[in-house]
Amino acid sequence: MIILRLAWKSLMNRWVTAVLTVLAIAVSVMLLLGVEKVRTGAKNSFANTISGTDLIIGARSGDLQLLLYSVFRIGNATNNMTYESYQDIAANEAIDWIVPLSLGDSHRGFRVMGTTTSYFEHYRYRRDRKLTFADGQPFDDLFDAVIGSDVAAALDYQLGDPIIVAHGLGDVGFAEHDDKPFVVAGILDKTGTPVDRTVHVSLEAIEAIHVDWQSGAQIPGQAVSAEEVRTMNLTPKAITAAFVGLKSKLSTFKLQRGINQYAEEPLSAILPGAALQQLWSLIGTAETALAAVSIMVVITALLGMVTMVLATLNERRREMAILRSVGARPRTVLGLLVAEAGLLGFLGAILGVVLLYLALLIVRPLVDATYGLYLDIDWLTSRELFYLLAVISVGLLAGLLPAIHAYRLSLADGMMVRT
Amino acid sequence: MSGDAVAAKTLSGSDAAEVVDVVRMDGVRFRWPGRESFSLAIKAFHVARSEKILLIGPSGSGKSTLLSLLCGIVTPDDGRISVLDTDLKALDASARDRFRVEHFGIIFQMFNLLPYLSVIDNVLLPLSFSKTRRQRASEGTSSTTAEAHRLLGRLGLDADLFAARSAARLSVGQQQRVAAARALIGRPEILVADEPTSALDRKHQRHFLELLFSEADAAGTSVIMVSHDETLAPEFDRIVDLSEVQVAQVLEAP
Repeated sequence: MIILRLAWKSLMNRWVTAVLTVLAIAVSVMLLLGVEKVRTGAKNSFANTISGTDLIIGARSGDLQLLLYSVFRIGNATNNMTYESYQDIAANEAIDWIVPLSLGDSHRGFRVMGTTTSYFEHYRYRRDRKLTFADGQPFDDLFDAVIGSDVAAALDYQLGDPIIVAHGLGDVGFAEHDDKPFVVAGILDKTGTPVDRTVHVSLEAIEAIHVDWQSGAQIPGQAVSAEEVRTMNLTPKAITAAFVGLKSKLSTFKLQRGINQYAEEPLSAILPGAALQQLWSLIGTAETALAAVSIMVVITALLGMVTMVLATLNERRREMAILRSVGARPRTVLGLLVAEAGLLGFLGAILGVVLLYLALLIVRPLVDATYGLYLDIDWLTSRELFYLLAVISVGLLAGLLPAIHAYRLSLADGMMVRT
Repeated sequence: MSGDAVAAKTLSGSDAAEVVDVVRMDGVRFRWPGRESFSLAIKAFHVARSEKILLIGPSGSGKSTLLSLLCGIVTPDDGRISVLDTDLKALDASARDRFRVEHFGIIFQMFNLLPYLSVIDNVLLPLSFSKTRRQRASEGTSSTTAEAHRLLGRLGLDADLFAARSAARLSVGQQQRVAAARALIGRPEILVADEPTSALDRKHQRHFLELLFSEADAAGTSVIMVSHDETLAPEFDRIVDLSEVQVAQVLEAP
């Protein structure tokens, strides 16, 4: 292929500009694919905030609302579900495990959640990861607390540090359960999920700190001390929500229907996966903005390439004339310039992919540790391959612009250009 | 002097089947599109086989335009140009491109070479575009590369020393000799040169022309060269002054 050979040699002759152009394209391609990788990574991490849980049950409300307060600890439950209903559902033979959740209190801006130790066994994120302890162990004593990694980092808590739970959700609680302080018994590893920002205590502890409270305030003169409360019956009257795992996925819809039609009180059961998808589609507009920005970067790089080819065009009129004098047709001259642009685009795309994987290898552990964002390093998805092809084809098209100009020049100049 | 008078000159021992005139331009008129001030009209311009013609005339008299017409880069508005008995008007643009490389060797005033190719690649360049010349270049020699080496040697460049060198590193004189080798490779019938010696000093001009002509004679190639410099005239078979010849005839042409 005489054209490719000439294009290559001509580029090598201007290798500094060529290398810079290829680099510009490569970096833009890396950015485009990087944004795509981060986007899918974020989407996957998000979709895997909770996994292994087949149903989430709570008082009747919208799917998103239930998901938001039970999994993301955002907003409040409008209603609780009674403990009787919980026990009734827990007795259903389709159920493999069930974890109760009780929300409503906070500690310095972080949610406090009452649950059982089975939470640490059954909660899964990122497909099949279990919660693991960086330090300590699950709560054992009534006033033990297990804190997520963000809580520990933000408040600089160690094992054995005291925690005073505030009633309600304000950062600065007016009403504090300061008569019944908790002790940090365990610190969880980073997960990149809302678990990191949660203080976990036992369901009984939630009951215990509210035993002498009514309507959001301590009942005057009836204070029960931390020691006395241990002797009392601390079975909760209500919980906020429950995570359910089933023996067989096949019974999911049957049980969901059963719970949604539960006669004793209005309840909702949602599929976490479906609700997460729904939520992502709401907040996913940010990804479109990211994609738009990276597409602009690619366009900038390609414009740079066109500029480079155009800038050299005038000095290359001589070259065109020589080629025409030895029998190259205008079409060949056109092909030569398009081939140059194509080569630049192709090399840029390849180098961009190489840079992307290098960057992923370096950045992945950091991003995982800092943001809990897990970036997959797989081969390019078909969507990413499509992006690559698009960059190369747009490169060819962009090369066509100066090429057509050169074609016209070479037709008008003939071969009698004087310099 | 009139072109008609010259047509039958210098035909030595050619057999009857061979073309007498390699180039025949008759009643040609041409105007560059969009350039009203300039027009070229030639009543007759004929070139015989192996003839060496010096085309002189002041700037703007249309020397380069004549060469463009001759090479089929542009087509005349009127009249007939036939090269090797082929009417250029009958060929379409791409056929003219092919015809050009098959039958013409071309040398410019300067900057003849692609700077990013080696000397040898520059010489071999026309062979990439013409099968006929590729075949002719390998006749009687081991390879086209060997022929390129021979031509470079004949033109006074030691091929072993220069072949692999980058064309950009040569002096102007060396570049012109490489250009001549490229124009001659594959023995095209016509060599067209647009002031190829103007960048050389007088001594080198003579030497360059001698080398060029001896190779052209060996290949039976006609040479049409444009120049300002009338002192080169003794080297040529015939001088054509474009300003004297054609402009007057324009007016009387039908």
